[in-house]
Amino acid sequence: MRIHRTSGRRVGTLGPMESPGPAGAGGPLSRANAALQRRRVDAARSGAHSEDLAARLGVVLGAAFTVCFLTGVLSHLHQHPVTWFPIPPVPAGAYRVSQGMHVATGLASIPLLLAKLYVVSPHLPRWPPVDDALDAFARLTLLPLVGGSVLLLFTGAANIASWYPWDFFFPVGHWWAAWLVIGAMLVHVGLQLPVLRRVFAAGADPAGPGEGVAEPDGGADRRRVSRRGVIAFAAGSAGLLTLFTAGQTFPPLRRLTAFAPRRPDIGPQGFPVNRTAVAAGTESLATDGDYRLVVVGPGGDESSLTLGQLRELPRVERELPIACVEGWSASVHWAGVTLSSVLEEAGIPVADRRDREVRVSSAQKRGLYGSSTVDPTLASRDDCLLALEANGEALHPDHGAPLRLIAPNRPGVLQTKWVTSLEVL
Amino acid sequence: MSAARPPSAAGPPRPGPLAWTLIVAGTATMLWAVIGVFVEAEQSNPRNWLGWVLGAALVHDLVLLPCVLAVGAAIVFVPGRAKRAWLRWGLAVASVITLATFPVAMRWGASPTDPSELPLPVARNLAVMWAVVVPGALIVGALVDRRREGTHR
Ligand code: HEM
Repeated sequence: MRIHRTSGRRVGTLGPMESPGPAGAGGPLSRANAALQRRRVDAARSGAHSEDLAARLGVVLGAAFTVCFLTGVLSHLHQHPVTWFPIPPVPAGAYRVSQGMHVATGLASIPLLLAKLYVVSPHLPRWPPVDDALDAFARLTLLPLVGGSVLLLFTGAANIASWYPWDFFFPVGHWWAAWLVIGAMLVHVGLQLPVLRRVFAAGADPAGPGEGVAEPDGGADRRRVSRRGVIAFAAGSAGLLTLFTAGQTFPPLRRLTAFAPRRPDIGPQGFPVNRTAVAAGTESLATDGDYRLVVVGPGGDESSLTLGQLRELPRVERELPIACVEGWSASVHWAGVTLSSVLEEAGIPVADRRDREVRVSSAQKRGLYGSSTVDPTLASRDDCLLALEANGEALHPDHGAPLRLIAPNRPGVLQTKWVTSLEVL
Repeated sequence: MSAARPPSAAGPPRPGPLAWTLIVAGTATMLWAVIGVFVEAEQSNPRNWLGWVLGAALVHDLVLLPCVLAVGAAIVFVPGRAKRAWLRWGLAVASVITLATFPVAMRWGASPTDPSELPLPVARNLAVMWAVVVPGALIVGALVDRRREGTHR
């Protein structure tokens, strides 16, 4: 009985499908159209292009995009905080996990998206191109859905390789492309609900058409790509891609890191650098005998501390991750002083900064992310550090010597390096 | 007859309340994205951004897909059912892994001052992957074909 499942009107995931109709009834145009329609009907029955496979792949891809979207929005909220969604400082490795998942899931989505587009591809060309207003809308919104998805994955994959062949600021372009795609995805799901209901109806054969012995898959045309072939491609390539790149954030896979832009144990003092001291124009700071940390109180009164004074404060050691927005991360053993003890030493007691943020600024001369703010909860914690050492050595200039911020659950771009001033706002 | 079958005679099913909710919410979200791009024009460069969205769809549909179909059409002539299937698998997997990581392999973003950025020989690793995956897939396919022939004899 199941054979009828692909003979309905709305068969393809791309819109309604007519039965082939009398071939050659009219001029060359209608003959061509009849051939097109025949191809589409054939395609919908064949395992590799069935609505069943399109729907199932769609669900997997939709889940992957949802993970990317939620982790991406979380990353955005880290960098653009809002009062109605305060991000807690624990667990310390939460951002490491969420952004690691963002990039890993995004990369795995590349084969999933291409598999999905391959499955539905025979349903795109059709004459007349649209049936009615709703169908026209459905077809039109495929453009932002497909273009936006390809662009999201492309900008993501290029960004982690520090390659920017476009003329917009990556986070902004990627951010709005994500909203475009999520919107187009909602529309698409709404329009395809009948197909989803059909495919996932209670009692439906979980293997769907195309897996059975009597299916065209293994029967009629053995030269074609099979349903199983598409699944083996999607699963195999998503799996291998993850296996050989996720080591950039997931330590058990580190030795398999073959295709990733970073390996978290490569870099000065055993972990990577995103902006070097030379690139930031701060290479002399580490050896500057006149280095002072300027501290500005809530009333605007200024004081300063030398490195010697900083070193006399209680020494604190912590194992905290450095987790880059680009998806790599490493656990590092830091030593230094707490931000709170430095403010205390500068004559700003906790009572004077209970509800106040602290701006941490860098000596960095070039590039973005020259300062960051620390919220009051985080600023009072004993694991919110100004680090002087990493992995048992004095901080390397590329890691922000002589002094850098390091706090739990924070993207790397907010772990300000080459710190020269603190301001209680 | 399954109840899940669409009413083919009555034309395509019209969207119900859930479908309309998704369609309206999705359209609003898309509009919000486009407005966002124009509001943040200084950073998002709307013309360039829209060009990339459109271009991405066109490059997929008019370049990537035809290339894949052309290679697929050529593979039809390879003898042996399992060999064809495995060859397709090997070529597709190796190609998509290359597609996903070529920006890393090409090292266009490498920094002259930062050896920790793009430190791995990814181009070489990709070459090794091709050298393993494609011939490996062909060998497996040939073995499966031979076993099948054996059982049919
Ligand atoms: C190959 C796939 C992908 C990679 C490698 C990738 C990579 C990245 C990176 C590196 C960032 C951090 C940007 C920054 O803060 O500087 C980011 C942010 C983000 N990503 Fe992705 N991404 C991918 C796919 C996706 C997908 C499929 C979605 C949504 C469906 C998505 C949604 C977002 C969002 C919403 C942000 C936050 C942008 C912001 O902070 O303004 N990404 N992504």
